[in-house]
Amino acid sequence: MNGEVKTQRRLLDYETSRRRFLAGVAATGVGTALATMWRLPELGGSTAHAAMQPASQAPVSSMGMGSATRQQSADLSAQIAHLLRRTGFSATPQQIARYSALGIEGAVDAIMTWDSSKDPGLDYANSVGLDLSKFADAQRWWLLRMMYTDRPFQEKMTLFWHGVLTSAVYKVGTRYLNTMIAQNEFLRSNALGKMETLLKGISRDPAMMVWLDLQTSTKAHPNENFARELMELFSLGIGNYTETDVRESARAFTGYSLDKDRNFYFNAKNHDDGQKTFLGQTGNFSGDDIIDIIEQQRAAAEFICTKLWKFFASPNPDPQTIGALADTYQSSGHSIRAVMRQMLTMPQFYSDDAMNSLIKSPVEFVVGTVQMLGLRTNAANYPAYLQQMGQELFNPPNVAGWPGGVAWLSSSSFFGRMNFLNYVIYGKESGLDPVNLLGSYVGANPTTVLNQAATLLGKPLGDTSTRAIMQFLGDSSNGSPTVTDKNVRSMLYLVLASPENMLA
Amino acid sequence: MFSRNFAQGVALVSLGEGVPRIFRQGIALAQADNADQPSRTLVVVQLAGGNDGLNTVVPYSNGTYYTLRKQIAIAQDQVLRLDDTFGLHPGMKGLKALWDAGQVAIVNGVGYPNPNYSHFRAMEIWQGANPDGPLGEGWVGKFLDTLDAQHNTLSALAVDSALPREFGSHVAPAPTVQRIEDYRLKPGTDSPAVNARRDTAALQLYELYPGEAKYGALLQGTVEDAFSSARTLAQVVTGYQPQATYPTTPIASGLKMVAAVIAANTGLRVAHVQLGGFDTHSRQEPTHNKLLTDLSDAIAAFFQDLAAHNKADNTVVMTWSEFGRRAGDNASLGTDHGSAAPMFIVGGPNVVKGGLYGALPSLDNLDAGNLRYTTDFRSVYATLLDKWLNADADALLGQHWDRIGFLK
Repeated sequence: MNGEVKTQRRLLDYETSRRRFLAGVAATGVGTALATMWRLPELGGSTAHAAMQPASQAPVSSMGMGSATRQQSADLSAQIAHLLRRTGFSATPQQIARYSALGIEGAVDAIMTWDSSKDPGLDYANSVGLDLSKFADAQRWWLLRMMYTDRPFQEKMTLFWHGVLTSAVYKVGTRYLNTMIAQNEFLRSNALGKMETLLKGISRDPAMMVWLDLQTSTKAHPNENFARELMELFSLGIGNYTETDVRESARAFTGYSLDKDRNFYFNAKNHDDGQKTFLGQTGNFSGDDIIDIIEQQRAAAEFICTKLWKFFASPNPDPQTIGALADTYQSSGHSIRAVMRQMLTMPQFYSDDAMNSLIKSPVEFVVGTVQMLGLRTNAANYPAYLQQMGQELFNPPNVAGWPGGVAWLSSSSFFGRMNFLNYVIYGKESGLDPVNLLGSYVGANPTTVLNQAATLLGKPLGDTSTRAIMQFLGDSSNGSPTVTDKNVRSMLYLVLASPENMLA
Repeated sequence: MFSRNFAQGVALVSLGEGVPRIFRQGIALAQADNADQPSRTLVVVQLAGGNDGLNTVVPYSNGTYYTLRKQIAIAQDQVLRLDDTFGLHPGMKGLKALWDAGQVAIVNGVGYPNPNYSHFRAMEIWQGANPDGPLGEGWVGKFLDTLDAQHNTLSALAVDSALPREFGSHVAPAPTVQRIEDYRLKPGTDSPAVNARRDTAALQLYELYPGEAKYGALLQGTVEDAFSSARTLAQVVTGYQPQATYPTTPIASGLKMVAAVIAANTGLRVAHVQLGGFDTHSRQEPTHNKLLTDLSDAIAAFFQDLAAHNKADNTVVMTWSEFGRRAGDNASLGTDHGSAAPMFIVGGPNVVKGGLYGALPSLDNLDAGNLRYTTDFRSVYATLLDKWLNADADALLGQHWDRIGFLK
């Protein structure tokens, strides 16, 4: 199959540059870690190559490796890079090496564990002099946390929840940005917790209450907006409840109120404590009861597992995979942590269907660029570029969040991405130093320099992109390809502008 | 504004499918193509969130309207009277002037059977013209597919950061533009010569990329069209002088850009602009007032500009919203999701037969508090596809829908 051959060629290209890192890894005495690479056969078909023969469990003793081992280590690196990109925003060569040494399970555990008493990303975000009462600054604050965090998975999960349990500044109001920040902190703290905690908390969240008109919902006239979206978009999905369920559950959420400073309080006088019939059960349900009943449904398990799969794994959820995740969801008491641990260690996550199958969201593109280029920035003007790319933090277009996937691709958003690269690569404030990134490039072999630049992507640069960029290096040097001070930044621009870099 | 269900979206422009678009250079070719028969443009204006039809085209002589809406009904002496029965919301002075000139048709009670009250599902239904199934291609996308033989990268234009789903098609997405000054590759700090090479290489990255790779065809098509349409659009806008004072609202700016492209006579067939914020669950006024005023003023400026460029008779505007709102108001001084609502058709004086079409649904015989539709939206689409865009409407929509007589 043609595609297979292409994939093979790319992995070999990748392997050439990988070899340098692996040599480095071995040289620093992490040889035993190579033994964990023998786990690879368990993970099933991850590349278009013929399956590698499961080896004996004997540890690898030296770096005198046969081609089988080189291939497996290349495969593992690719999988680790994929894992890092999906659970974070980028996969740098250093991170790929570090986590490859742990193997898949070890890497997943490391990614999902952190020291809550420290938060370097927050410290950095708080150190650049932002005014969190200003919309653009609030967006920059979160971007900086994503860029400089020591646990990207926590930020990625927060971003996921922000796109599901949505609220937006255009309705909440810039005067109440503090409530959007508070919602953000709530999502972050509970990102891997139990679904009920998330839903019950969000039903009392001041920004959410304003967003979905819950604070005006009274016994005499229940407002249906929150009840409907709770089921349609946050927990069950269309087809798993009726219009009557919407009206009945709206009654249960009456009495939720906000004081003049938009702090939550429960006003019993406004609460309809009568009998309601909801999803086949009858009782004088409270809002929390409604959420409990929702979470008893199998549909609730499948709904959120499908959303998680489409955000983290691939656009094509298959019933068996979702079923397995939903089983874990139910047996773990609706633990998002349990579901994610299973997802990140299952073979389907590393399948051909999953690898390079998601289009990077604008936020991933921006945060990833900063991380890949090792930039030190305060994110000034980044929100404007993100707006052009179609993703404003704290301001999703509507209650369904961002549709994602192919919707990220439009001519307007393409120019947004390119012009963002233009801004950070040639600008002075971000501290991009090509020598730092590429080593000394003047007079060096252009193929070597381009390969070095390509490693920044954490995945191989394909034949066609390599050709186009080598062509540029030749054209811009009026002769044979050369990397100079006069074209090195444009070369980096092209590497990051590549189609390969648009996919996560 | 989009549906969140993208399973269809992925299958649509699926990995490895599709044909890369032919790169067409510059404005002159497009203008030459269009010289004999200046094209007709349909401008789709989406009112996102569910526009409250009853307070837009107000049945001011109907007592039940006032009973149903004790809090937020528009007073009789406030409406801009269209006739003895209906009046426009007071914010719509611009549109009223066009009505007086015979350029506005209003179709009342537009909806479809078994209305859906979810923003996203309802939008999909309007965008795909298929209430009974998933959103595949958009209804405009299907029409654009028929144009591919005489390819022009500016045959469609959406003023937005993402492609409106009625434009979804099996071929690469139509150009979407927000601000014209950002719609190009901005130069870096290397020399102009190096920069030019860089931009060429940037396009090549996508032109050479294998179409069978994941998202290959889509990436290729999107980027090729971006470069091509950016070139044409830059030329269009350089040569354009607006002949009206547009408000500074985003919708007016969007229509101004559309006017520029129409005036340049490059064969624009369908454009899309949107105005959001219509989901007025609470404190409907003054939000609704501002939205309708902005909408009305923008359309008025648009047609004033087009008339001065002799393009009013080449242009028809159609407004749509995913649903109307409940007949009665709620306790939050707003309205909840509803069903049928009016659509506006606005065009040049020689193209539109101004007047009221369809019938207002009965306010006394509601369906669980909602209006029962009287005209199917697909009849409106069919009329425009057939009589305005000269397309095979019945084939595109999958069956025959009665035409409405709002075009001359």
